[in-house]
Amino acid sequence: MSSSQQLTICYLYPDLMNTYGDRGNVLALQQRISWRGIEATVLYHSLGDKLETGKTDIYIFGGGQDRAQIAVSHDLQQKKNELKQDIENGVAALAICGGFQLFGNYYLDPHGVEIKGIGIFDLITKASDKRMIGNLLVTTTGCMAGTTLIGFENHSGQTILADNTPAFAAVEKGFGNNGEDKTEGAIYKNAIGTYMHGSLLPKNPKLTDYIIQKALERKYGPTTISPLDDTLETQAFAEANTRFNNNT
Amino acid sequence: MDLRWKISRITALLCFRILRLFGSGATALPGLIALKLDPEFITKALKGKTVITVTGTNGKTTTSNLIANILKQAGINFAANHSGSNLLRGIASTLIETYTADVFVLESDEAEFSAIVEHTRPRYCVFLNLFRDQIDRYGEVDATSQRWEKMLPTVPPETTFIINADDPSLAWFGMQKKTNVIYFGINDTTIGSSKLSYTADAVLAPEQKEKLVYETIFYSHLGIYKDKAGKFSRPELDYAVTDVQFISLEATSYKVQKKNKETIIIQSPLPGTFNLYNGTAAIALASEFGIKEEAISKATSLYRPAFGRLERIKLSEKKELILLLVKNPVSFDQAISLIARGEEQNSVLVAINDNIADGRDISWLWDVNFEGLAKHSSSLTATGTRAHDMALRMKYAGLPVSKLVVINDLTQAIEQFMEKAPGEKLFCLLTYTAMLNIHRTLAQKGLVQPFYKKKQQT
Repeated sequence: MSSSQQLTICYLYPDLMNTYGDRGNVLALQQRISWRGIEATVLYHSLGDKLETGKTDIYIFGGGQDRAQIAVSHDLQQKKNELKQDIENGVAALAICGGFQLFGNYYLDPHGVEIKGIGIFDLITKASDKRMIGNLLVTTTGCMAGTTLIGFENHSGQTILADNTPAFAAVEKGFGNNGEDKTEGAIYKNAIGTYMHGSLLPKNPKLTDYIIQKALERKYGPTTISPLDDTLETQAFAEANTRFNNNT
Repeated sequence: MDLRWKISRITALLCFRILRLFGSGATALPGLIALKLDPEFITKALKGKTVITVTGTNGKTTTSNLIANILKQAGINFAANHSGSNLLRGIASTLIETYTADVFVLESDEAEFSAIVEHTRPRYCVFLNLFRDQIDRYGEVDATSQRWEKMLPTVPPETTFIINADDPSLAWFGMQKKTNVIYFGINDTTIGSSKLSYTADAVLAPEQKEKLVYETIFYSHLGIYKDKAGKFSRPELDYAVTDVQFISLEATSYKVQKKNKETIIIQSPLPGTFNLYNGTAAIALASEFGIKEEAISKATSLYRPAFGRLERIKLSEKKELILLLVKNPVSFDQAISLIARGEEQNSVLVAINDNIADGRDISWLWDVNFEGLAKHSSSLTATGTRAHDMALRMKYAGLPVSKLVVINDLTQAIEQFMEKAPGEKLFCLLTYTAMLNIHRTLAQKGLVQPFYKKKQQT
């Protein structure tokens, strides 16, 4: 492993889109990159900042409150082309809840107002009366197929994937995209959208490493990443899973 | 009082006595029965009385207790509910025994606040702050302030609001009420910082899509702020904290300057910026209530911390256990900064439960600055139903995992911690049910009294 390798994480709207510990995803990536002797740089990006294509290896985008989401939707339209270009080029991305919805085509709010997304994923989201809240257990289908992941979801928006949009995972327990079709999240190239907060990445190190691997491969060509001691991660996953089974 | 009320009270009282016989705190069920038998139980009991409510995310218990201490010092015949009884049913339970008092200090749950106002018709309402707290239960912060705004038209104009002006969402809320609003806040900028950390929650200006600009931040989103358009800024303070000196974990001195230039000098046994807000809220309320300065400063200086709010338990000549309740990222960060402030190395136990009263979701641990514990990392214990999640958070905060003790069982963890942890101060940071559990263990060992007995004394 060459110590000259470096990855840049761009954290989108950290001050507006960060609910349910989404910040932990950035921390998990940052640490697992640097524990492998690779330099990790975090860029913070918010309202009015300039976004350039080709500067980022991994985008992280969390969930936010309704009012924040509207402000972010407006701001995102200015950067839509640059962001989409990066995703087309295979840059990795993880968009959660509100961030996932804004990576879709639009979100129809409870008053019927359309909040624009940027259409990375071909999907739409509609407000509903249903509050989809609780722990969420899924098996991945869109990438690293067959991996069990655990997270926490809380949304009332129901996401409907277009026919040709693959889901990220299949719901085992919980609601997922809409509580009806058992789909959870979406995937396009190396961009993953999901409803899983929790924080998602610390307790699901396989997914974290998958994202790191994809970012390294795009930048440096075929790569194998070194394994880490995941004893504590595995225990925390098991503990959450037990609490989940006992209480729902 | 009418017959229906009397029957409701006697029935509820009977239930209360029976529960107490079995050693229960009996803080909810009797009230629930009273309200079932007479839905106007609270309203009737409080008719013609003076009611003070205290609400907000953090600091309700400490502020209510401070107010109670001042009222006691001033010789006022008052009654108060206690933490864990701050919903309608808890208030009803309190009234079963205490309805003859003249003044009532009611700690009020922020989510149930509108209903509490409707039932209690308060004369004074103290608003402390709004932070993220168990979003799975309370919903988003915006939702709570919107519920409060909806309640405004039903509040009589003579009701006085006492509001923390340093919290923008509360200030905005205060501006919607046209009369009788009193603002408190901090003017000593030397204890603040000049910029919001990039990962802190931004606050959007009301009705705008822009972020507020801060001149000084005291913590979280509390500070001196304005919007870019010049339409909204921190209101002028009626009670301003100045000349703050954090002396030790048991001593803080500051002044509260009134709008009329009078100054109250305060020697408080409570540390931390968050307690400046709690203290000033109580002082503002007491002054508006007409209580003399002397009684205010005396009661404030004699204050003893409430159950689990920096509660100190002596274990031996040179060792003490310090219990701190942590409910959300803001209270957790404040607790950590208290521990980190001193020079000495401390032992720290963190207990995270995910029962309903704690909040089932524990993702908020990722919003807490555990990196601040780096100096104390040689003696860390993680315990509770989610001990491993806690340990994982510590791992990603860069704390050494090899030295970390992880034990799910609270009793086992606290026993081992008291026996083996080095240092003079053993800090315990506990979620609500973990606090109750550890308190029970300590009570069995004769180190503390059961919590409900303790409460009755205040």
